[in-house]
Amino acid sequence: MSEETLPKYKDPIWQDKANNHIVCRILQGNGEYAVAHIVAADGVNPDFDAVLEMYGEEELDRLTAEHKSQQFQIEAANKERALADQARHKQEILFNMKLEAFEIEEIKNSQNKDLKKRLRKSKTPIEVNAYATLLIQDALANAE
Amino acid sequence: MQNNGYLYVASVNKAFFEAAKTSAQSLLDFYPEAKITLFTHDEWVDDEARDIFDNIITDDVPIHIRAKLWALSKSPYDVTLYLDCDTMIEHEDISTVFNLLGDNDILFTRNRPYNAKITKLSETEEMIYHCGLFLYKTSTTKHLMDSWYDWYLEQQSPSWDPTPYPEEVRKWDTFTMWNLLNNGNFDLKVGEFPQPDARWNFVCGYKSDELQDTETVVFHYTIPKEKVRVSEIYRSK
Repeated sequence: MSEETLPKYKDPIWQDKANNHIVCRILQGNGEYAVAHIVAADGVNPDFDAVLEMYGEEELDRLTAEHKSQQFQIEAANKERALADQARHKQEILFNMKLEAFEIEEIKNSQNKDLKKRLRKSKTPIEVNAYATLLIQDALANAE
Repeated sequence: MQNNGYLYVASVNKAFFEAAKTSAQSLLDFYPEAKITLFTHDEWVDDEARDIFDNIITDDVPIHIRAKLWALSKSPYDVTLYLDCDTMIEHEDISTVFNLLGDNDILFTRNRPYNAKITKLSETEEMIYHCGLFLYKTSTTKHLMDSWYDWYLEQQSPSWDPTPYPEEVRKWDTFTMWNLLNNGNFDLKVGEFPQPDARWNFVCGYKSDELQDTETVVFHYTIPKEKVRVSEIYRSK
């Protein structure tokens, strides 16, 4: 597409509730677009008038609503990912504690199947610590 | 009487072999009668492994990061639960898993897009199945499993063109399975683990409410990269 056929303004949205501030992309001399903030200062801004002329207020309203909806979806996805990261971190800590507990000879070689199962099923670090301690105590008592 | 069992495959990096032993030991803690097969390299097999696994197969096991795909059709069981090495059993219900197959040929759990690197291929196409744990009828899925390995090898060839999908699908055997199920010619009944399926393959990072007040049966973690990096790499003699 030649530069002449490219629109000067793209993807405009309202930036403020009073509709005095537009954010859009403006065509540069090199044929690329750059993000621009266009403010209707005292009603005198040729770019502001040109965007309104090109798109109209209703289309800007629609584009702004669409942008908000997209932003909302992105934020929701990011939040979900952040929660997953948080859950993963907690689960990794718990899992590594279990792995380390089962590397202890007294626990690894214990014949106390019930306590070993309880340790494997533990849902918190406190439970892991408690059952690991009981298993070691059990092994020591049996050794005496 | 059906011959059901559990299958692990550990190739290339010894960290997978160590993880397989740890996982199988946790399986035995909850189900001491479990029949467990390991495909691995002969040089790695030690007394502990012989103690845990009742069947260790080393003949012709490829030195390949996806040796699992080669091994699946060679399972000695009628119904097989394949488990990645980086899993840990946390519940007695593991002994009942074979009852879930019903008249299906293969059962998968679902991927969670919020916890996966890539699931969506396009607006209408999604890799919905997690390929790190699945239950299958060994005889009827033989062609599918062998094709999984063949198609994966083809996927690695420089001449294979992923278009219209992104290049990153190339490394995923999950993509290969998606491709087989969607574009292959297999007359198989593919099903899903019953809800909540997450309890059968609870991948680290899943939300706890995925369990719907049930308990995790299999916890699926990832072996830390540092551990993989410092572990022995198998080299053929």
